[in-house]
Amino acid sequence: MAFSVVGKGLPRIDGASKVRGGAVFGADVKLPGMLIGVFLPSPHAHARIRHIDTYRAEGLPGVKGVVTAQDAPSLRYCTPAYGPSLCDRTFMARSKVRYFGEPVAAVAAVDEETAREALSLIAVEYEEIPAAFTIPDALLPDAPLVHEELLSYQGVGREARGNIYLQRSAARGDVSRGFTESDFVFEHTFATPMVHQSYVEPHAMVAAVDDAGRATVWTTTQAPFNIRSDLATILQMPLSQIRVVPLEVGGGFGGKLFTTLEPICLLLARKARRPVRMVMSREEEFLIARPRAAVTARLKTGVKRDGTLVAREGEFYFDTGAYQGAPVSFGVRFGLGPYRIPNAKADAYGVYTNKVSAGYFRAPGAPQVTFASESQMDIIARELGIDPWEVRWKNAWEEGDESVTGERMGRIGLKKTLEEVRRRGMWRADREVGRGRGLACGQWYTGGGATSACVTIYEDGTVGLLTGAIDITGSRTGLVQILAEELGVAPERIVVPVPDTDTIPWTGETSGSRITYGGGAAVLQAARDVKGQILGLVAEKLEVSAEDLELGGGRVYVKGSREKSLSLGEVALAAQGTKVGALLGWGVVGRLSPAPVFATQVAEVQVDAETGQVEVLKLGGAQDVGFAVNPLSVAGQMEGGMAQGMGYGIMEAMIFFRGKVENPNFADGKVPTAADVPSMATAIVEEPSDGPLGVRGVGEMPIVPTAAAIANAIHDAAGVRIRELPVTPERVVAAVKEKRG
Amino acid sequence: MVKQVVQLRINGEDYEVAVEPYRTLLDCIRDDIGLTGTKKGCDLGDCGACTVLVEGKSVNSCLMLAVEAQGKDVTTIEGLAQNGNLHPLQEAFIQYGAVQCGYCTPGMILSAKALLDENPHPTELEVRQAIAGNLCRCTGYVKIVEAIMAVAGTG
Ligand code: FES
Ligand code: FES
Repeated sequence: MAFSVVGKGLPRIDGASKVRGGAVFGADVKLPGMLIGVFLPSPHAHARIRHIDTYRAEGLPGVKGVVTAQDAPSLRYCTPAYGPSLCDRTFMARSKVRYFGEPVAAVAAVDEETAREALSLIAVEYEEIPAAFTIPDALLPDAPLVHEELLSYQGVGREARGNIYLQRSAARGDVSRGFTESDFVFEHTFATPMVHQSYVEPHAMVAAVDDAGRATVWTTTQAPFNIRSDLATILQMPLSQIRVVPLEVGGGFGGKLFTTLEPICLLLARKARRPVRMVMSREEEFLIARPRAAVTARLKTGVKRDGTLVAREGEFYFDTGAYQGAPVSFGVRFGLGPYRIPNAKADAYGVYTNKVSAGYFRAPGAPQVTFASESQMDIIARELGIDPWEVRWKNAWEEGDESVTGERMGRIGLKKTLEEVRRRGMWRADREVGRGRGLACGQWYTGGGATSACVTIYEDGTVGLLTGAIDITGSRTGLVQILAEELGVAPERIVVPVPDTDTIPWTGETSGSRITYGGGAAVLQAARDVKGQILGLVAEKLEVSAEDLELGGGRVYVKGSREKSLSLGEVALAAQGTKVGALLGWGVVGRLSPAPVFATQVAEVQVDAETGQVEVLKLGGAQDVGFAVNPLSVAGQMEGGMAQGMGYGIMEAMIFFRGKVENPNFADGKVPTAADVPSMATAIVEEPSDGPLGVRGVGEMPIVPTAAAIANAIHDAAGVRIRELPVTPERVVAAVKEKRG
Repeated sequence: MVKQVVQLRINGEDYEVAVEPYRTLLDCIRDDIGLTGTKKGCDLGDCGACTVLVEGKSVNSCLMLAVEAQGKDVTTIEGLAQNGNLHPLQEAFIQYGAVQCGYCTPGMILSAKALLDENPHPTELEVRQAIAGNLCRCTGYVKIVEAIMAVAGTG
């Protein structure tokens, strides 16, 4: 099928406002009389709160409101949209603090200096209690319990015990028999750290309450409707009394999916009777936002001499920190790799520790377990003397194969991505001394959350598109392309105002790389709806049958006779005088079945064995995107994802000392700069899905295999295998020393 | 604390504001003057989102006090377009896909401008070094470097 708008690398429609500095982010909202809110972080990782005295803070001139957990109903909540609905969370610490930094009180004042001074006047009496800082600590039989009352929480599962709040398992075949039938069995443990998303824009929000008690919250979020329902639950307000206005998201990557300070901000605004703005400092981002969970993975794999996988067993421990939120089930779903394994078993556990509460970060769970799984595939290939590419090729899923969770593959592009990295010369045999090449495959999926969309035609022929889907990847541009294609208008003729929770029906959060997929389906539906109305009306006007009409260039023509036509503006105007009234198309798409996504990446590195310094020279990736609605933006997502994957591989980690983040800034918690990131090559594979236009999700996939590809390249270059991320110079030097004996 | 009056010339316009002596140029530009195109990512000099040009040189405005900018010529992202026409760097950032979330974009463009004003034909390495103080978490920098190189090639 020939397209004129989709499939083209159109520049982003929000580009102009962003290069001018006009795009409005959370911290840019300023209301008359607005106060500044700040919170008091817990100075302990685990302590009972004996008493909080806010009297002196309240008396400080300029302070307009002080709140603690006592200012809201006592309840534990969860956001059902995100997996297991174990309600273990409070919006502020109540009777005890469970991690360093947990908000204990908050102040709104006329300026930040006054507000911070007021914090220093709040007296909190703590009683420190023993803490569990790491997974091994937390799993000891007599470990301190992060949640003593876990078993009484709403939504708790039968598997909950001690600090384990969740277990997910899946199995097929018989792993013990599989291991007996294998020629070789490999067993290794791998570890990955907690990592912050490090979006450049910190969380920022403004809350205001009007005279009638109706609240409006402007915030940087991927999930305005979830924030609305969380606020209603936490503050026990009617949902209809809350409006959430999503603003531009200055980088989210999953880090802006969850409610953070919004309830506190709104409480302050209610108490002070004035609008309140809260913006996290960079340090606070590291203290209380929701980073990627640390994972310890044990993998046991049985293979035949020729590299055929016979059995694989994985145990994945997710360190969720103080509250549930680690993507445990994805450990089961993705931990064994995209391979045909007749005997497979995966168990994943969510473990509480006294650290900041983990959340989602780009392809939640997958980069962690893929580092383990793809490192071990590399070990197996090298031990057996088989090319790492061949081992993957031999075992890679094809149509009809089934995962350990019973997901049956339809048409998938995994093998095509493998072919592509070889065809493009990313994966080659030649090699220079001190340099190495590593390969890794990865899988992810396209989520299917619900989306609402609405399309209307203005009297000047402009097309208005409203959708509840938050754009974090350029999806707005893709949706405009889909709409432009369907209605035969130029993309510039489409306007996309961002609606709030009052003005568009419920739409799921932006997660799971789903917007062009589910959102695309909703937009197509809305476009077809309005198109039907247009054709019906024009058919009546021109006295022809609707089948004889076509749309193009912003007009409706009678096929074959170009003179007989009406512009979309004329149709909209005409509609006003008929029983049609306004041209308005709706699209509401519920949960779609997820579409699997695959990628193969190759890293080239240079390793200095003396200093342990690793330089990533090249990154290349091939990814199945189903259909690239906008190849420019697809490449941008792949490059951005690989750069983050590189950071994960060799630089990034939140370093904790007794539960306290030791590097809560960009100077010590480094992320890649333009000087660190190498040149990158991207190859797009298109194996259509069942979704609209055949698209598959794009945004998350590219981060998944990168760290493993780099670690495998380091082994290729220096002969050392680092099984813990990040691969720092110290770890390389230690491994080189150990190898030399 | 006693406020001090400072005169600033921002994007060719004169402003007079009363600020605390510890007020950063960044907070002054954003909150006192109301030009919010300049972004705050860290307030510690680590991310470059707050980059502005002071007397043509790129500066992290979170590390400079407003009073230090007394009498100086400051350019923010809002001052780049001329008579409604985007600066070539702004155009190139859009065309090459160098803008994703856009939060780093204003600072990135100003760092690029400072570079090209001084060195109109930089190598790729020079471009990468010139923007190494501007973090971008979205793009992986590939398209940003391409956009800057494209402008350098034509300049
Ligand atoms: S805000 Fe100034 S460098 Fe980050
Ligand atoms: S475009 Fe998002 S930080 Fe650069």
